[in-house]
Amino acid sequence: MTESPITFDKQQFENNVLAASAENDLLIWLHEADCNAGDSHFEQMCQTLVELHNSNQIDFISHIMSEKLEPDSQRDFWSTQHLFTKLAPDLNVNVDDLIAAVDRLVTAAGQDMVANQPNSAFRKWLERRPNETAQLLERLKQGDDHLLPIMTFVIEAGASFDLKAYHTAAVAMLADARPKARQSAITALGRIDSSKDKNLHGLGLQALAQFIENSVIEDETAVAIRALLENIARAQYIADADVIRLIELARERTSPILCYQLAWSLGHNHKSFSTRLKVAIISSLGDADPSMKGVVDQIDFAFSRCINAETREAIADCLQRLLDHALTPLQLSDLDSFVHDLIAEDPNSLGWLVVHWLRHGNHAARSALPALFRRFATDGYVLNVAVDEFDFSDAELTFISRKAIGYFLVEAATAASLLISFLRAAHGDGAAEEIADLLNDPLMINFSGQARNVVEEAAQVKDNAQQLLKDALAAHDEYLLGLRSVPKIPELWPSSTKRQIQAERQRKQFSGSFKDAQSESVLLKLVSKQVLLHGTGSVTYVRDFDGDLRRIESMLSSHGTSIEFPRFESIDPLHFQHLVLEFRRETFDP
Amino acid sequence: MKLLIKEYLSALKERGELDVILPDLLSEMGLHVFSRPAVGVRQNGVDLAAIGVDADGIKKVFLFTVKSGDLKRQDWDSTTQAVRPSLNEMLDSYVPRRIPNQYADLPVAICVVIGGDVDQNVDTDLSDYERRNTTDSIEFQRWDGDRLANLMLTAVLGENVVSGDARTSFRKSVAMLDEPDAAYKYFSEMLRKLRLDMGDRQKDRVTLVRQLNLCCWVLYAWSREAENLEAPYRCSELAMLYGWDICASYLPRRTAPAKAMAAAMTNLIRLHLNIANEFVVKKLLPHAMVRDGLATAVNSSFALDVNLSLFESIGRLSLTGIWIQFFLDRNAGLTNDDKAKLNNDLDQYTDSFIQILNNNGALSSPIRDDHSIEIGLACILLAQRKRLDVIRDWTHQVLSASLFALQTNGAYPCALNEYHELAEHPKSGSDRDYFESATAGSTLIPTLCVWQKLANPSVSFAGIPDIIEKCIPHCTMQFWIPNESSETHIYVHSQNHGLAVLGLPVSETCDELIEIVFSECKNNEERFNSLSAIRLGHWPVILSACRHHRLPIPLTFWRDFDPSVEEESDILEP
Repeated sequence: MTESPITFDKQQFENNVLAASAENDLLIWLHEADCNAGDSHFEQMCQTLVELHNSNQIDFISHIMSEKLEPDSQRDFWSTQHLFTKLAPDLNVNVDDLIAAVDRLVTAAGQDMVANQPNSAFRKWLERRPNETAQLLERLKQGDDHLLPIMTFVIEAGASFDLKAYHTAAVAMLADARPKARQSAITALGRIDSSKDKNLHGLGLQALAQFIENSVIEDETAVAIRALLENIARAQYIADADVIRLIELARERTSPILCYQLAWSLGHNHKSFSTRLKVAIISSLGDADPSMKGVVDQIDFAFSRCINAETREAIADCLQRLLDHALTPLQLSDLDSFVHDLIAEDPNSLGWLVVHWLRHGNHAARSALPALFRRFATDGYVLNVAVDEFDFSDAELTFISRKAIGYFLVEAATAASLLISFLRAAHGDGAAEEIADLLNDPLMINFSGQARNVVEEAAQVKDNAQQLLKDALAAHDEYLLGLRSVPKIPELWPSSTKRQIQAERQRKQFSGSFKDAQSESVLLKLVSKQVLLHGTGSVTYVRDFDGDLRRIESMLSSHGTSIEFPRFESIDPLHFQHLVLEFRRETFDP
Repeated sequence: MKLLIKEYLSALKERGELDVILPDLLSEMGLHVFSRPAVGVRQNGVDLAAIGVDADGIKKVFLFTVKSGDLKRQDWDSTTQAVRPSLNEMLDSYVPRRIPNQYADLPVAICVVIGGDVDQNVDTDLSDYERRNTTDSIEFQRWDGDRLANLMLTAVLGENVVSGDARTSFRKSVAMLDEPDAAYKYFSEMLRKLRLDMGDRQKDRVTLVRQLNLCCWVLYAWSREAENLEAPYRCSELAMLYGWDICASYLPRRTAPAKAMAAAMTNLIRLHLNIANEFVVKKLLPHAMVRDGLATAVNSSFALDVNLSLFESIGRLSLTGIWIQFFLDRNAGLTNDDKAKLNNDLDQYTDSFIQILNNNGALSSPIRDDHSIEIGLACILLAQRKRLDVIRDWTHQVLSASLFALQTNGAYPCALNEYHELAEHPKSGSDRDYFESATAGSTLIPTLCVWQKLANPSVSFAGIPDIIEKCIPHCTMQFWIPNESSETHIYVHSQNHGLAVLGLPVSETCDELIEIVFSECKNNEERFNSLSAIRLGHWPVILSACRHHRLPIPLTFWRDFDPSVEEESDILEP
C-alpha cells in the first residue's frame, strides 16, 4: 500500500460518490478514483460508502445489480468484487437483494479461484444477523429451493452463534429428499467445528459415518468422506479402522471426485491424521485418474506436505500405480510441488524413493526417475542415499546397481553417485568389486566427464570403498590410455562426402528442432522477433509515456548448454541399447 | 607427369620395389631380362641382367646395380651393399664368368640405377671410376631418376601406349590421394579407358598389366607421404581384378607373352598383397588389443561411420589372411621350418584378428545386409585356422544382435547401400513400408545360420524362426551363385550376373538349410569350377572380386565343409 501525503477529503469523496450514484455509474467512478486496497485511504473510503448506504443516500447493492460489470475489463471487475466483499458484511440490506448481488458477482467471476469471495462476505453478513439467518434456515426447511445454493453458508454462519441448533439442523438435513440440500448439509458439517462439544461432535461423526454406509450416490459419498475427515482432523472420536473401512466402502463406489476429496483432506489435515489413516488415504489415491488435472494437483500438494519416513512407502506405491496407469499414465513432472520439494528440501526422501523403486518398483516407476534429475543435465545431480536403512543383501545391492545403470545411465552423475552409495554398503568383496566394475564399465567409459568427476571426488574419502574406487579409476585410465595410444588411421576415416552428408543431416535436424522450439516459445509469442545481420548488439528507440524518445542499447550475449553423449552411442549403439534393456528387464532372483 | 614419376621413383626402396618394377620397364623397352632379382641375393653385384639393342643401335648385355633414392657419399663405398663394391664384383666376377655363353661376345653396359640423383660429392668418384674401367667392350651408364622417369613415360606410359584421357585420369588419381574416394574414381576411369584402348595382341595385354602394376606402384609410393594407404589399397585391388580379367584366358598357355602375362599378373597380385599387408600389419593389428581402439580411430561421432569402417576393415583383414594362407599352402618350395614359422605368424595374425572382433563391439551388429561378405570372409579365415569356436561365438552374437535390432527398430541390418540412405536408417518403426523395403531380402541371416551350424552342428536355433516370422515374414532369404555369364563379369563387375538361391528355410535346426546349401554346392560345382580363378587355382581372386564389387560370396565356397566329401572336409577338424 502506498503512503499518500494527501489527507482524505471525506466530504469531497461523499460528494463525488453521490454524484456518480445519481448518474448510475458509481462502480466506474470508484474504479477511476482508485478505490481499492492499493490506496492508503481505502479503509476510509469503505467506511464512508457503508455510511452512505446505511443512511440510504446511495444503494450500493442496486449498483451491483444494475451497472455493467465490465467482463471485458477484468481489472475493473475484480476491484468491484473486492470492494463488495469488503463492504457487504456491514451493509444494511434486504437478504434476498444481497443473495442476488452475491449470485451476480459469483456468476460473473466464472471459474476463477477467487470467484467465491462474495459468498464469504455473505456468510460474514449472516454471522452478524442471527434473525435473518434463522429465517433463512426456516425457509430452507420449508422447501424454498431458491435458497439451496446458499444453504451451506446459512448453516455455517448460524453455527457461529448457535452451534447446537445449526449442527443439529445440518445432521437432520442429511436425510433431506433434495440432493442439493443433502450435499449442502454434508459440506456444512465438514466446515463446522464442533469439536468443543464432544457429544455434538460425536453425533456429527456418527451421522456422517452412517450416511456413508447408506449412501448410494457416489459423489455424495465422496463429499461425506471429506466432511468426515475434516471432523476427524479436529477431534477423532472414531477408530481408525472404522474410518478406513468407510474409505474402502467409498472406493467401491468409484466416485471420480473421491480422490480429489481425499487428497484435499490429506493435504490440509495430514498433521492431524494418524499414520495408519494417512497410509490408507494415500493407498486410495492410487485409484485416481491421472488425466484429471485438478485431482493430480491435489495429490501433488498432499504428497509434498505429508511425505516422511512413515508415509513414503505408501506414496511410492501410489505413485507407481499412477505412473503405470493403463490409459493416461502420470508424468512425474505433473507433480511440480512434490518434485521440487523433494529435490530442494528433502534429499533423504528423494534418495529413499529412488532406491526403493530401483529395488521394488515396476518399469513405469523406474522409468520416471530420470525425469527428476533432467533439469540438472549439465552438471548432473549427485545423490547421497542412506542405503543402510534398507538392509539390502549383496545380491540386492548388485541388482539395484544394474537397475541404476539401466534407468540412469544417461544421468551419469546420478548413476555414479548411486553406485558409490551401493558400493559403500556392500558387505562382501564380490559384490563391491562387481559394483566398482560397473562404475568403470559402462559408466565412466561412456561418460568420462560427469561420471568420472563423481567417482574421483568419492575416491578422496577414506572409507571401505576408497580402494575399489581407485581401482575403478585406474581401470578407466587404462581404457583411456589405450584409446590415446591409437594414432590417426586415415584409412578408417569417413570420406569428406560422407562427412558432408552427416553435417547436412545434422544441420537439418538442428534447424527443425530450432523451429519447433521457436514455435512453442512463450517468449517469442509475447515479443516480436528481430534479426541482426551485423553487429554484436543493438540500439532501439521507444517512446515513453511522457512522449519522449528513449534510447535502449543492448549487447548480445551467448546462451548455451552442453550435454555429454555416451561413448557407446557412436561406437556401439546396439550394445548400449541391449545393455540398458537387459538391466531393465532383469528381475531379482534371491 | 615426369615430375610425378620422378618423385615416385625416388620414394621407392631398393629391395622389392625399384628392382621389381625395373624388369617390367626393361621388357616394355624391348630388352630381354635374363636374370631377375632374388630377394636378399645379389649375383656378383648384379641386381638385374638383360640383353637388347641400345639407343646407339648396338646389341649389348645390360648389367644393373640398383640403388634407391639419391646416391650419397655413404652409399658409394662405405658398406658391402654400397655401389662401388657391387661394380667391382661385376667387373671381377660377373663379366668374366657369369654372362651366359651365347651373350659372351656382346659388349657390356654396366648401368648404375639410382631412384633419385647423384650427389655432387660422389659424382667425381663415380666419373673417375667409370673412366678408369671403361674399355672397348665395357661401358658405364647412369640410370638416374630423371632417365628412369623418361623411360617410363615413353616406354610404359607413353602417348603411344596410354591415351591422353587415361593419363589425365591417372594424374588426377595421384593428385587426390588424400581423398581416396576421388582417387579411386579417377583410377577406375583410367582402368576403363586403358582397357578400352587395349590392342588385340597378347603383347598389348602384357603391356596393360605392366602399366597397371606401375600405376599402382606410383600410387603406393605417393600414399606413403600422405600416410594413407586407402587409395592404393582400393586401386590395386581393382587393378588386380582388371588384370585377371585381361589375362585369365591366356594364363594356361605356354607362349612367351602368356608367361610374361603370368609374371606381370603375379607382380600385380603381390603388389596388392604388399599394400594390404602393410595396411593390416601397420594400421590395424597393432591396436587389436585396445578395447574400442579401432572404433575410436574411425574419428567420427556417427555410429554408421564406425560400423561401416570396422566391417570394411575386417573384410580386408580376413581377405589378406586368406591370401597369405593361400600362398603358404601353395608354396611347395618352403622348408618345414619356414612353413612352421609362417604358420606361427598366421596364428598370431588370427589371434589379433579375434582380439579385434572382441574389442570392437560394433562388429557384432552389422548395419548392412551385405556385411554378410565380410562375415563370410572372416569365417573362411577362421575356419582355415581351425578357430571354429570363434565362428560359433561370434556368429551367435551377430545373429542375436541383428534379431534384437529388428525387434527393437534399432540399427538393424538393411538392404540399403547408399550412404545417404544408411544415414537415415532406421526410420520410424511405424513406417512399415520403409521397414519392409529395407528388409526385403537377406543374405546375412542365412549366412550366419549356416556358419553357426557348421561351427556347431548341434546348435539350436530355437526361437529364431518365430522372430523371423514375426518381424520379417516378407524377407527373402537368399544366397548367390555364379552362372555361365559370371566369368565375363565377376572380376570387373561389368553387369549383373549369377543366380540367387531362394527358399531358404531358417528352422530350429537349420538342417534343411544345410541340406540345400550342400546340394547346391554340388549342382553349382561345374559352373563354379569354370570360373578362371577357380580353374587356375587362384580362388582368392573370386573372394577379392566379391568383396570389392559387393557380391555375396558364392555359396559354393561351403563345399569344403560338406561332410559327405571326405577329402575336402579336413577344415572341420579341430
